[in-house]
Amino acid sequence: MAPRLEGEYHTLQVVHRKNWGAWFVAFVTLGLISLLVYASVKSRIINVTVFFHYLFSIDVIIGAKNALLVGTLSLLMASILGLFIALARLSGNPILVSVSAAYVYFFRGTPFLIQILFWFNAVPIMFPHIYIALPFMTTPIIDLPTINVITPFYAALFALGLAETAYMGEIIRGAIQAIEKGQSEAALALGMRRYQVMSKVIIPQLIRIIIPNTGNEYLNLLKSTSLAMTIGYLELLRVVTNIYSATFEVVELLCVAGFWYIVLTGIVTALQTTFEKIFPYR
Amino acid sequence: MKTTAVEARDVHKAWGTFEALKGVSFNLYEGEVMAVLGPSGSGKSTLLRCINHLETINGGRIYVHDRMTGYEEKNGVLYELGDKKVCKQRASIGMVFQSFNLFRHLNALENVMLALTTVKKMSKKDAEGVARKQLAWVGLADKAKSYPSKLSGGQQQRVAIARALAMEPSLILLDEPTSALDPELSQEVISTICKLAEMGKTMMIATHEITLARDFADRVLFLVEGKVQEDVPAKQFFEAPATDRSRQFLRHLMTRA
Repeated sequence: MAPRLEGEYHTLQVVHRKNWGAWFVAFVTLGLISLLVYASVKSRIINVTVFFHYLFSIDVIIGAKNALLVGTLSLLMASILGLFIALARLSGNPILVSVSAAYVYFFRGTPFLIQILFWFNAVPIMFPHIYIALPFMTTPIIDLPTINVITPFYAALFALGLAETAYMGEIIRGAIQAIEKGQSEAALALGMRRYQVMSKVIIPQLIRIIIPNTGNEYLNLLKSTSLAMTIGYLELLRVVTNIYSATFEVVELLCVAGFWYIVLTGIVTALQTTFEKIFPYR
Repeated sequence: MKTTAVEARDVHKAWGTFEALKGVSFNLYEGEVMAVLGPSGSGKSTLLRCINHLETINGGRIYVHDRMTGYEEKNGVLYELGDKKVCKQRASIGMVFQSFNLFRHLNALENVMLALTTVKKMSKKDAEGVARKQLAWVGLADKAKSYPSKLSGGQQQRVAIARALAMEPSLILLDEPTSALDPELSQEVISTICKLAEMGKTMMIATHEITLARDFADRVLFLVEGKVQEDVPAKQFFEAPATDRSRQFLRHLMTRA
């Protein structure tokens, strides 16, 4: 064969080989999906009218609001307490280190559900009455039967808040340790006090680092609020189960709950993206 | 009569069983530039960090302008000072680190301003004025709004120098300021340190950079394994080293240049 001249090669056409296997699987998948859709439509798996009836009903919206409320408040509580747990763990003081390590182990070690049930059912049995007073006071700060204090809302809040503190404590500790020691040393060398180093150097950088992890935790919390249905808290899932235990429209109502959880997830995702813009990586 | 800026007497520092400093003594006078030389692990960085109490000492005394950094002596025993007092002492000692250690979430201007607003309690406006002046002095006025991640190593180190200078320290400690930089970037930092020396700033520089030691230092403190081998005028160290160890070290230093 005569050698090809330079410049002839670029005019040759290249025919790419088709991946027939992938295309075959793609068609089969499409077929199965269409079959599923057809079967669903034929058997009317969901009554769309009922679905839309309950989707924006006032009880469901209040339920969603309650889930958001408990989720958000417990995250805030956990972030603040978690910072203290992280600082205690890094303090070097043997008692503080052990106590915070024990706290994390214990509160990460038990399921959220057990903690929720514990707060609502067990605590009022263990401490029937709450009485807090300082030695020199005649009227106490708090003097109430525990049952009045531990409502479903507060039980859920304490349980989720204290449990999440353990997770946030670890997230924050990791973030503090990720910031190079050198920056703290430079700040100290300039004459800054320890609390100034923490507030001006460490914490601003820590915030950006924990945003993705905190977003995850926020989503976990929002969905874990559904566990509070066991103690009668009127969050989203409880509202929905109350309705369908009377009307038996289980499918439609669970879809309504699912819809609102997805909406809440969307809100959190949007919040996370916004925070990442406000605190960019420099 | 020369005033003493730094006086170290028999300083000992150990981490567990490892002794980093084994009885270091020297006097540094006002306006002098001292180059602290020695092989890796000889205790150069440790010595500097003990001077501003980033490290504690196990024995001996260090006086900066007649005050002991971090300690108070009562009846022959050293008592560690509280956070507030130590910070006040540190504010008059500037330090420049090998890895620059700029605050990564702040731009160059804010890096220089931070200590002015938090430690010296200056107003934001005054702090900004001082900071801009310092940045201009190190030749980075146009980089005021840049973040550390966008600056070259040499530029970052110059911002670090500006940051230390803004506090108007009476003593400046430089811990291997050019060791993390390639020769080209080292040049800009060396020029800046040269300007500092010309201004008459009292400085201690731990370094491997021969130019700094030979051309700008007044004195050389040569450390080996935590002990002072030589404490002599710079010229004398380079022209007539007293010990074999010094001669061996100089040979290595020269071949690097």
